[in-house]
Order: sequence, then C-alpha cells, then structure tokens
Amino acid sequence: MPSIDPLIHPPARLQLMTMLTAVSEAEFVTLRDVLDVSDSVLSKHVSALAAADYVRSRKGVVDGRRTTWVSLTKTGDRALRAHVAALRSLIEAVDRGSAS
Amino acid sequence: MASMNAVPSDPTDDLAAAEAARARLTRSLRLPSWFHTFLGAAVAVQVATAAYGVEQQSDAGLLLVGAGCLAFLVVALVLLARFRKLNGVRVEGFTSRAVMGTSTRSSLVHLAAMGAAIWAAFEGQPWLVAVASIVGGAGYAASSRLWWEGYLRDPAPHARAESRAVLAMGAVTLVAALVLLVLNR
Repeated sequence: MPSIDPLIHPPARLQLMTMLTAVSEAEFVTLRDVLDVSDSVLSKHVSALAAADYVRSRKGVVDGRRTTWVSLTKTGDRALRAHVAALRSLIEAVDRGSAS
Repeated sequence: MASMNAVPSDPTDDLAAAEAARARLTRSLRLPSWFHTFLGAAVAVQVATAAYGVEQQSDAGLLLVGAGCLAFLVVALVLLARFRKLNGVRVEGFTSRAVMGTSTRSSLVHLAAMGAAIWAAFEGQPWLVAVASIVGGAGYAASSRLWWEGYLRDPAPHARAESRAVLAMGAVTLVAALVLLVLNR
C-alpha cells in the first residue's frame, strides 16, 4: 500500500503540485494568485518542495521584470502520484469500513 | 502507513481541493487574440510557398521553401511568447502539439495539404494550390483548437510534449527531406 508523503500532506502543497501537473512551468505570481496565498507562504512551500527535489525554481525575466518560474520535477511527479494513490486507498478503506 | 499523524483529516476534501486548484488554473488560461487565425494563415502560407518552391526545382525555389518555413516559425514563436506573457505559464504539449503540429491530427492534415498543393503546383493549377493551402491552414487551426479543448478537459496528460526520441525522429525526417530537396534542385 502506498504511504502518505508528509511533505505533500499540507493541502496548499498538494494543490501547488497538482496545479503544476497541468503545465510545464508556471510563474510564481500565477501560482500565488490561483492558490490565493501570500508571497511568503508560497515561497516557503516552494522552498520546502525544492529542497526535496519535488519542484524546481529558476529566475527569469519577463518584459524587463524579474520573475521566478516553478516546475514539477520527475521525482515530484512520482511522489505526487504515490501520495494521491495513498489518499485514494485510504478513502476506499474508510468507505469499505463504513459499508460493512 | 508511514505515520498516522500525516494522514489528512479528510483526504476526499484534500483531493477535491487540489483538483479544483488545477481546474482554476486551466480555466484562467487564455489563448492570444486571433490565435487560430494567425496559426492557420501561417500554415497556409508555408504550404503554398513550399509547393511552389518544390515545383520550381531551383535555388530560388529552395529560398521560397525556406522563407515559408521561416514565416511560420516567426508566427509560431510570437504566438507562444504572447501565450506565456498572457498566462504566466509554459505548456510543452501546447508548444509541440497545438502550435508546431506534432499531434497526429495536425501532422496528417499538414501532410495531406502539402501533398495536394505540391501536386497542384506541378500540374500548373494555382487555384488548387491556393485551395489546398487554405484548407490545410484551416484544418491545422481546427486540430489545434481540438487539442486545446482536450487540454482544458484533462490537462495533465496533454501538458507533456513528445518524448525526445519522437522529436529526434521528426528532426531526422525533416533534415532528410531538406537534403533530398537540395540534391534534386
């Protein structure tokens, strides 16, 4: 049975990583606006996930302004799939328990 | 289980919230204005110039083929830059399949249009070249629209581009076609 990943456990991190599956790379401000969190909160989540090589962040310039691009790594993609599988297993187990 | 403390209080809500966040992101994405029109027109120009260029079998014809490809490339790059600026995201699947035409549907439409236009050029039927180019451009744009609709419905599998092996095969085929064109001019 796949196990819950404590690093992806906080809902904001799960949402962030799930969002990144839809794109190859997203600007920090785009992620912040969709998640509706502050710069500092998002920055902490990105740093924690980057330290585990779940996401990658790089600096860039768009129209003369500095920006940060965030993307999901292969390690992060695998970890996310395992975490989601663990959550689904848990839900099924609870449902089976309720039904019996 | 690794740690019971790590188990969310309600995993159903967590998963639903994550999927909702992804849906919010994809719903917020916009295509640049006149995206499909510019893309279709660029493909139509590329097909027409390629047909006449191949038919001429000369250095000038080769230049015409190159100019058409360059025009398409410039339009594609501008559209991609506008998409990225507008949305603050980059989607490799969008770049390769919706714009560069590596989806099966786009490739077949482009190939059919090229074949028809080149045949018409050799037959000396300029109106048929024009029809094949315009139909090809419209078909290519329609394929791109279908890809986009599929992406919005199910973003994760559509977000990825082809593997490097497939792209390398495409590049080798393109180079081989160019070499043949140069040798036969």
